[in-house]
Parts: sequence; C-alpha cells; structure tokens
Amino acid sequence: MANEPVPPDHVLSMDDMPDQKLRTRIASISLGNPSSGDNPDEMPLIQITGAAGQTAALMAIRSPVRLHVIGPLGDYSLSYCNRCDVRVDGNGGNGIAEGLCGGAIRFRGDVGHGAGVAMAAGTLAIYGSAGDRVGAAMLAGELFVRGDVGDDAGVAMRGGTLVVGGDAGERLGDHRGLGTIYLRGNARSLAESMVEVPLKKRDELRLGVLLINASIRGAAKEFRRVIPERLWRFEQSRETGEVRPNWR
Amino acid sequence: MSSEPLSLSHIQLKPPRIDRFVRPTSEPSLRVGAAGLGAAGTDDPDGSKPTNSEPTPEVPLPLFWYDPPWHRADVQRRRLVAQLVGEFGVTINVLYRELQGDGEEWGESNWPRMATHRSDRMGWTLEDAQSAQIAEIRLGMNRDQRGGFSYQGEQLAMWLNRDSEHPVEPLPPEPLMFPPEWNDLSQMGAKVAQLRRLGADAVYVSIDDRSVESLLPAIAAAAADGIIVRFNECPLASLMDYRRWAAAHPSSWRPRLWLAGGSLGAEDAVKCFALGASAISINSICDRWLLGDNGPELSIAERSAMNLGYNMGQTPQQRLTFDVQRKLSELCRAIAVQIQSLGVATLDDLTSKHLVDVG
Repeated sequence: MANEPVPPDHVLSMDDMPDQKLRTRIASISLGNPSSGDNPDEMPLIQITGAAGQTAALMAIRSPVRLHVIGPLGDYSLSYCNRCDVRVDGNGGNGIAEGLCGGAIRFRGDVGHGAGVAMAAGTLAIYGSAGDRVGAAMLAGELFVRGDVGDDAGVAMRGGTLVVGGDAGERLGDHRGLGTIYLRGNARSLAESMVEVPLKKRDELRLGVLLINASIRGAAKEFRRVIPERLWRFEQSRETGEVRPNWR
Repeated sequence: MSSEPLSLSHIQLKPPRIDRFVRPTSEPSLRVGAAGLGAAGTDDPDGSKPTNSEPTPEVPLPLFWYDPPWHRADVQRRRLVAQLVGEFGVTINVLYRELQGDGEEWGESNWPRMATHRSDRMGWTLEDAQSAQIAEIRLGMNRDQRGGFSYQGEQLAMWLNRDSEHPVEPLPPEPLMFPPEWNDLSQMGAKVAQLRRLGADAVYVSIDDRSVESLLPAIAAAAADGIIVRFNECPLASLMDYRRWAAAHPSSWRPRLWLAGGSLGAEDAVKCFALGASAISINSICDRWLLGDNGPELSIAERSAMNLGYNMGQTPQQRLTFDVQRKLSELCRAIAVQIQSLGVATLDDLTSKHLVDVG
C-alpha cells in the first residue's frame, strides 16, 4: 500500500453498523468490484472509521479488499482474515490477527500479547512494539515487529519468519519447530536450545526483500538469526560452498 | 443432604412412590431430555440445578463423546463412526481436519458437533468456529500414558499440513496449556465473545476436576455457556464444587456443567443429572468403535440369534451400525427408565431431592 494518501473508494463507519453487517458490506463491495483480484492495486479501498478498541472486530474477512482502519482495534480483531490488505492507524489488543491465513495486515501502533498467534500464511507487520508471546504457535507466514517484543516471543512456533527490529524479552524462540527469527537488537535470553547466528548471504537477500515488502526501513545485514541449535548444526554439516561475507 | 458423601456410590436414587397405582404413561425415552446449550438461568428454587430461563440452542441427547481417539483410525472409519454416533444424537468432539482426508473435503455434518479450540490452536480452523454447535476452549489437558503432556504423531499428521520440504524434521511440539494471548483469566471473556461472533452456538470451557472451585468464577464472569470438567474416577467432588458455587452465587451467570471422563453407568448418570450436570461423556462405550479395524466380532449369543434368523449384519460396516444403535439405545433406555422411576418427565425436572444421601 502506498504511503501517499489515496482517496478511498468507500467509507464505512463502525459506529453506524454492527460488526456482522460491516463484514457483509465489505464482502458485497468486493463482489461488486469486477476487477477485484489478489493484486492489491486492483482491490477496492475501503476506509473504516469509528474504530475505538472494539473486541473481535473485522474478523474472517476473506475478500480481496484493501481496508484502511482509522483508530485502535481490540482483542482478537482481524482474526482469520485472508486475501485482504489491511492498514490500521492505531494500536491493537491481544491476539490480533489470530490464525491469519493470507493477505497482509499492518498496524501503525503497538499491539498486545499473542499477536499473530497460530498464523498460517500472509504478512503481519507491527510498526510499534508487541507484547509477550508474539508469533506464538505460528505455522507459516511473516511477522514483522519494528520495535521491541516481550517475553516468550515465538513460543510453540512451528514455522514461518519472525522479524524483530528492536529488542526481545526472555526466552526468545522455540527449538522444537523450524521457524526462523531475525533479531536486530538484543534478547534478554534465548529459549532452550536456540542459538544466535549470523545471517547467510541467502538470508540477507531474503530478509532484504521481506523488509521492503513490509515497508520497514533498515538494512538486512543489521540482523542476526535465532534458530534451533540442531538446525544450525545441520547447516554447518552441509557443504554449501556459500561465501559468508558477514561472518564475524 | 446432611454431610457430603465421598463418591457417587454413597448416594442412592430415591425409591419409587408406592402409595398408589401408577401405570407408566409411555415407553421410556431419553429424547425427552434434550440438553440446552446456553448458560442456565438463575431462577432455580433448588439453588443448584440449572434451568432454562430463555430459549437456547439444544442438542438431542445429554450425552457427548469427548476427545475421541480419532488418530487411531483411518479417515473412512472416522467418518463412518462419527456419522453413526452423531446421527443417534450424541454430541461429538471432532475438528473439521480430523474428518478431512488427503486432498478431500468433508461435507458438513447434520449432527451436533463440538470443536476443540486448544491454546496453540492445533487442528483448529475457521470452519470449526463457523459450523460447530459448541466451541470448546480447552484449558490444560489430560496427561498421556507416560504421565506427561504431549501430542501423538498421528494427531499432528491430522492437524498439520505436511508439505514442508525442509530437510530437518521439526520435533513434536509441546502443547501450550494456557492461551498465549492471555496474561490471566480475566481475558477469557474476550475469547468467548470472539468465538460466539465467529459463529459458535455455544462456548464451553474445559478444565480438569481439581480446578473447578478456582476457575468457575472466572468462567462465569466470562459468560461462557458451559464448563466441561475432565475427571478420572468420580465426578462427585466437581459436582459438589459446582453446587456450592451455584448456591453461593444465586444471581450470577451460571454455565452448564458437562462431565467428561470415567465410565458412568445409567444410575450414576442420573445421579449426576440430579446433582446439576447437564450432560455426561460416554467414551467408555464409543472409543472402542474407533479402535477396532474390522468391526465388532459377533458374540456367541449374536451368532445364535443370527442362526435363528435375526439380521445382525453381514459386513463389518453393518455389524458396526447395529452395534452402535444397540449400545446407545440400551444406554438411553437404561437412563430413561431410571428417570421415569423417579416420577419425573424430563431431565430438567430432576433435582437433588430425587436422591438419598447415605454417606
């Protein structure tokens, strides 16, 4: 989504209609847009006003639409969404974007605990800081936090990518899964059997693209990887022939 | 009751009235005992037995199959058994993914379904929230055979997509016992509201029997429709905790009580209903239908019956169908007979006044 203001195609207010009706209206706008596909530029842009921390708002939106939410959203908002591209100008509560199945959600504020819990695909970007257990039980997809994250980030994480632009709290990561964590700042401690290792050249390229896609400034080479120790050993045992320019 | 009994065996059903001739008005049937799903009202004169204050969704029978070992059977058998048991009216605890084959969608059921929402969301999908009658928020879990907490590999195979081409296999995950987005139980209300808004008719919270006293206030404060108590041997302590809490809070939101565990016979089931339970699990009857590969073997009596011309089913599937119908019918009839013997018409009319405490 471009940063310059774009006039919305539709404006809906959370004050004017209950959540169920709002979701139905969003789906009908998508159905009525013949050019609506999965290309974000072709999706109708819907501005949502009246957000004031409502719990479980805007869940299960599975239409190719762009939503621009003005104001904070409460716990479990935007859960189980797919295909939509959402920007929230405000904070988020606990468990936001639970079970995200695709598409992209961007919060221009802080979020509570358990953001992106069990997300299975798509992108969740948080431009502020996140509470404890961000990315818990995450299966796949990409989760970016520009600021700091709390304790137990990535607990029970099975896969996917968690990018932390700031510092992390206690027990970062989970060695039982195969998720990758990129950390720019410092972690107070890592979870059992997790290790902090430098980026490979391939990671640097991949992370660079991910950062651009998530509109997060900063160079990929500023990050380190946090991965399970057994995965690191496996990588070390392979003859990759890869040049590691950032080795230190 | 004067003093608290130690187990259900210390309680007896009241003997039938013998002061006049009463002919049974109808064939005993548990169908009259359809169990409401919504939270119970607060207008109970007994102070402990849930009663409906307003119309709520219902399930046909006060029986449910909790946490079946789906991973022990192939998908065809899972679907067959679920269909047979579900169509009888038993509420079944099953996730969409547990009845979904490889690359094969599962058509929606027309029987009552309960979907488990684990703390780590293992196996849970949006379809579960939208199509199950009951969403179960599972707090904690039962210990496995080794005394720890773990998922079986076959369970993970049902729940997770195995399309990863990563050369290193992930280790089996350690189950999360508490939702990662909660700091404490005060956040339960938001989760209950979320699941309701996603489409669940009712939201129940399951806990183990040692936590009833401490968690019931939080579950009621979260306005959950029900509480499922996992017990091992005897549910009496849980029932008493529930009754004490209900008596002390006559005007608060009262979740229904479902009991999961053990092996309750018809008489014990009726005692539980009289003490406040709204439904009981029947795993001891149902689990074995998933564990057998070729359907139940015919007993000597059944072979004799077949030789006399009774149709016991020729194929394993037919025999399984007969077995399910027969076992569940026997249980329902046994419970209905007990209820009828107490002179009440429906389960909701049962109260602790129909019991004699001999403890």
